[in-house]
Amino acid sequence: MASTLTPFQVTATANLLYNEGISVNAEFLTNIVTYNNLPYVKDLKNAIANAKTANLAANTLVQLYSLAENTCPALSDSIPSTSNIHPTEELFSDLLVQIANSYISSGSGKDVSVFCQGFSALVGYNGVTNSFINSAVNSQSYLGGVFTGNDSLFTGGITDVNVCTSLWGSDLQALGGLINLSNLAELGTPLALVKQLAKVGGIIPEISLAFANAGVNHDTVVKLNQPNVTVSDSDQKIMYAAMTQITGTTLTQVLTLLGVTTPNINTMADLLNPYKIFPNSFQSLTVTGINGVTQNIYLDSAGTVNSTVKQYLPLVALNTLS
Amino acid sequence: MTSLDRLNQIVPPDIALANKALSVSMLQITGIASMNLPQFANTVTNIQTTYGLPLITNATTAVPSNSANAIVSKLGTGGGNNGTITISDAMGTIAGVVSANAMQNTINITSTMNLGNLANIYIDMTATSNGSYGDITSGPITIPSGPANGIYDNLYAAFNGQSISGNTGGIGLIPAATSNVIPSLLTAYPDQTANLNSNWSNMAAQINSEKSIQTQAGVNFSNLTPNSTSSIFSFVLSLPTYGQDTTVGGSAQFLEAVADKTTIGGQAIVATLRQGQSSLGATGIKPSTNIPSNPSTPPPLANLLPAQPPYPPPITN
Repeated sequence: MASTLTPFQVTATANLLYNEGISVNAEFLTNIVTYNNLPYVKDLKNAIANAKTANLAANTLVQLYSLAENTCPALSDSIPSTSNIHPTEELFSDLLVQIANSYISSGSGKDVSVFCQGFSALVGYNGVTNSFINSAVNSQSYLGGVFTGNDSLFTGGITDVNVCTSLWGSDLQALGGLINLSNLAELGTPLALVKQLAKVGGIIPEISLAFANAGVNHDTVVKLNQPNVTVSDSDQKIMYAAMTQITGTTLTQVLTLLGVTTPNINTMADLLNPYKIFPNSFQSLTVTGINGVTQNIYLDSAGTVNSTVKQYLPLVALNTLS
Repeated sequence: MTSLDRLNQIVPPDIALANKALSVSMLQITGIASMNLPQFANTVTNIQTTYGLPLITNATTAVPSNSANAIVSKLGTGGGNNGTITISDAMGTIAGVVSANAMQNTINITSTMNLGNLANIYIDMTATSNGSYGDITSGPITIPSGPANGIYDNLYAAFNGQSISGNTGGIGLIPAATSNVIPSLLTAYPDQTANLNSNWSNMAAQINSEKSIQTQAGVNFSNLTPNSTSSIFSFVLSLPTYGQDTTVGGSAQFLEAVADKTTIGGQAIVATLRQGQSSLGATGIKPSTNIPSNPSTPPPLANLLPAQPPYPPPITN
């Protein structure tokens, strides 16, 4: 596929193909030339050139290149001793120019394609490296001081609810459509269960009849199929009591509508009891309190609820805002 | 929300507390409200955990600080934020990064110093080597004045010091420079020489950085492919993107420094960088900058092998 080019790109290419357009920085080269023309530097370079011509012993010649490398290398154009690049017979100003030229040359002389390759490779390397550096730095602060554990991060908080994910998942699968996950704030209320029943299949007459017989307000009973129905707490209490009596065929119908296959659901009220609806995983259900400590919701296999979790639930979960 | 105080009035208190705790816990799961229960159940069933990896599971921070520090100390050697590496850190010498200013500073600083004695010892070295002070092979070599003055048996002695014959030898040119002339300058000009050393150390650090980064990146300029036309194409096509990196030491600044702005090609490089920076693309204004890259006259089409059978097709029995 041909690329679309701009006029500037075409012009740049025309020059780069002939090794023009990129060069060693002019200011740098000018300053190098000026430095080399300082009297003491010219005299040093003359001295070295004449010493070479005179065949001065090699080890002595090396000393001329490094006269002040440990004291003040600028006074002898010596490569500073701190440099990791240290050819024995090279002055520092020459080394700098040689390095600069090496980025733009191949064996045949000036070759900007070498520059293009090196530049591209290094820009790419830098990008990847910098993502690691920045991530390492940000890793120390990105959670704003709140860290609930790697499992929590790794699972999006699922293991904060139950670390035994496979067992909990099986229990959840057996619940079909029992719980509306967008209505978790109402979890455990009879109304939430009735709304979900209405949503997935409708309120069967036997349920309405049971509620009516138990004493739930008549207006409430007739509106239970409406999605925005509101029910008083006193009516919900009566609904819960009625649910404890819903068994047998009616319960089977409810379970079928909801898709619940969990064993040992003996009454409709059992569907509001986590101990009953998570029979294989309730002992590893947990909650992380406002103190940051994760606690088990159940203390034992008998389903004894851990009353201390109450102390660390957020206020909004504990008390009705007035 | 039905809070616990209300829920307690509706269902038995232990069931109320268990539900409320479960509700609080499940509400912390990211995005749970957007799923239905079967989807969520499937997710939970198949999710992987860090079980059996106690050092990970029990970590008290997402990334241990020593792990983060190890990365930063090993890789974060550049001049960018957090020690990030810029292209100027990686090959800045060609752009005059550090060295252009350091060399200018060197010129300025040395102009405030009397370096006559230093020049003289170098001049004595030249005169010694070119035979002006005596035959460099048979000697004697006589350095008439200065800290290396004396009579030397040969060239080697004149540079390193007279030590073996009866001649009245001096300390030699190199010891005179390193033990006399240069130390005198350090004493006479402590601020200037310290400043010179700072500038030259910075230049050394720059080339160290370049070598180190190039080694880590596996880039050896002497081993790159010569005359690679495709790399030029790739470079030119990427110029607008490079232009968008306008950070200090970044691609745009670096390429501006190496673009030969005395040529139209160098200016075109800078212009292409600026096209990458231009905000025009985000507006409704359409610049007429794209040249069609397809030939103006379509090329003739080739006669390819038939891809359809003749009609009617051959009868098969």
